[in-house]
Amino acid sequence: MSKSAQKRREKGKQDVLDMLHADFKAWTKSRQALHHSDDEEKSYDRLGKYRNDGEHIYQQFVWDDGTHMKPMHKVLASLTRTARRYGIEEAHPVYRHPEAYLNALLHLDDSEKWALEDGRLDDPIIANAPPTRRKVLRWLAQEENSHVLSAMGDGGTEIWAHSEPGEGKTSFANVIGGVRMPEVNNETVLWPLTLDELECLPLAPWMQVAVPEGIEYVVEAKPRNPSLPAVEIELTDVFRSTLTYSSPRDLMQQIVPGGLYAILPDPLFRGCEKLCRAAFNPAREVEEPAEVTPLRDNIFALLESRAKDDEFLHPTVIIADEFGDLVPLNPENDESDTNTKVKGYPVALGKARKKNLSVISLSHSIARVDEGVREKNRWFATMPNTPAPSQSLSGIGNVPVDTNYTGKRDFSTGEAVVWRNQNFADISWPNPYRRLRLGEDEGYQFRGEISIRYPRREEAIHAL
Amino acid sequence: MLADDSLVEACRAGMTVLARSSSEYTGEAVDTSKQSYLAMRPAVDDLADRQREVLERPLGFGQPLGSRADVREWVRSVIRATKGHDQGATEKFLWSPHRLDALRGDPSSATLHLMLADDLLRPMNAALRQTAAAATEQADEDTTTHTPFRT
Repeated sequence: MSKSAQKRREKGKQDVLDMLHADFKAWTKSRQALHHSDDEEKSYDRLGKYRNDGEHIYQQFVWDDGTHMKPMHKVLASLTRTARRYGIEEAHPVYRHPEAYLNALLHLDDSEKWALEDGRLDDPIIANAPPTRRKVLRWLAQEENSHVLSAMGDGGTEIWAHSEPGEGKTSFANVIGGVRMPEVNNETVLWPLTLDELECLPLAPWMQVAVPEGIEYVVEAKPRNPSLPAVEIELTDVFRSTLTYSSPRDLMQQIVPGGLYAILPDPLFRGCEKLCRAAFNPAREVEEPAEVTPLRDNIFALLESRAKDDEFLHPTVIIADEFGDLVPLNPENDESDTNTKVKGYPVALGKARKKNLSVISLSHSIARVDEGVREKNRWFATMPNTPAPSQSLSGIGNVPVDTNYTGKRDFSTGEAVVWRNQNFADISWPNPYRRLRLGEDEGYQFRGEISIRYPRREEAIHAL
Repeated sequence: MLADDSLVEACRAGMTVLARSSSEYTGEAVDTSKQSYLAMRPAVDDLADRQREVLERPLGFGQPLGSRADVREWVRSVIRATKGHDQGATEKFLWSPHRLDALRGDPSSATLHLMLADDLLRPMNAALRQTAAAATEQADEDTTTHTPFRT
């Protein structure tokens, strides 16, 4: 390579890095950020006077018409106003049928519900909630919204978004799971990553990335713009900070309420076999390529740990991408005990959701998934250009929208119908890839993939 | 005149809207060879008729618009023909002296034609489109009046 070509290359790399640093400038002023920063000796409990991430994130997201995302309590108040002015019959379905969506989004535990029903707004359980949550709770306690309050269940919820690729599943998970839930529930977000791409990228400035202890990894940013080179980067070039975990249980001990965590899968599956009572085979320990356990199986252990270990009981949402591959129809009884894991999933979910665990699952198909898993799931979100599942599908229960619903409503990306049993409501959300850069009025620029590789695991698989 | 070729694309686009939202006959046998309504929709047909009448009157078909009272009456028919989504047209017709003069003047004036096209065609088309697309909604009253909830 000539000297000038090399110079140009270096310049291109620097441009990419500069762009990433501007796009993913970390938000460091939150309670969670300070807790996870290593330069100061601070514990989550002692950081009470700082704001939570959830109170900040939504402010950085904008609609296509340029308006900022409003805090949830304002959105809710406007629903009530419409009902007051034009009568409940004219109110939005989201408000008239809170079972359809609000119940899935707002997570209450029974003691909070009790306090709200009694109108005890100065009860510490309400009064000490973060402001964005407290205002939502106060809204629930208003007399005219009592039908919403009485529709609220306690514990976690599960929403399953389904569509072909590119119809908005990932943006749904980003905005509903990563923006709204932390805002209204101070929810802790656990986002297990696939190595191919970082679906949670819009949220990275608020995220800690959990790295399995002692594992070598390579991170590469590949801009879609062909004039820019692929660049090897550090995780902290996009994420706020990193933490190291040695097992799912260890991770549960490190996370804090209201924190957002992207989780790199552990290729050695440490602690997983014991939690799931099923086989997990790292690449370096097997004879045949088919015996290697897929990295996504880490999610099973994460769920088991959240269900059984009781290390962390604060409302938590897990984003389960490629859900159809995780819990397939007719799981095989293979070397990785896929059958045992899949059949154990609904059991663990049932336990965990009583302990405030929620799941947002994303998959292409609802039909190609294990029946027991389907039966356990309560809310579904049908994306644009996607047929709603047929009523006759086993384990689905009642489907209140007809197959062609999203087509008839002419939904575009960023809109979906959320439904459960008898109720459904249309919702929309802003495009998270148009999030603003911190401290600027500009949206973030990086378009492309950020991929992560485990060289040792790749070598081990090649060697087989 | 526009050639057929130029209109084909518009017809095709219109058909996709209609086909998506038309309901099928499921009960008794119906003779589908005769269609008495525009786009098989009484409501769309009715609206199109109203709109034709509204446009015809200032153009010299039917009773001429002689007085302010005539114009007021005509404006009410504009409201009905646009289902109220008049995009400001009725106010202009009632309060702008130029428009009042034009409406009551020579039906063949180019100014009048331009003005009617400019003020009325857009709201009329919008009303038609809305009516055509809303036809399925009888099955589901929830969905007629609400855009998706902005979460």
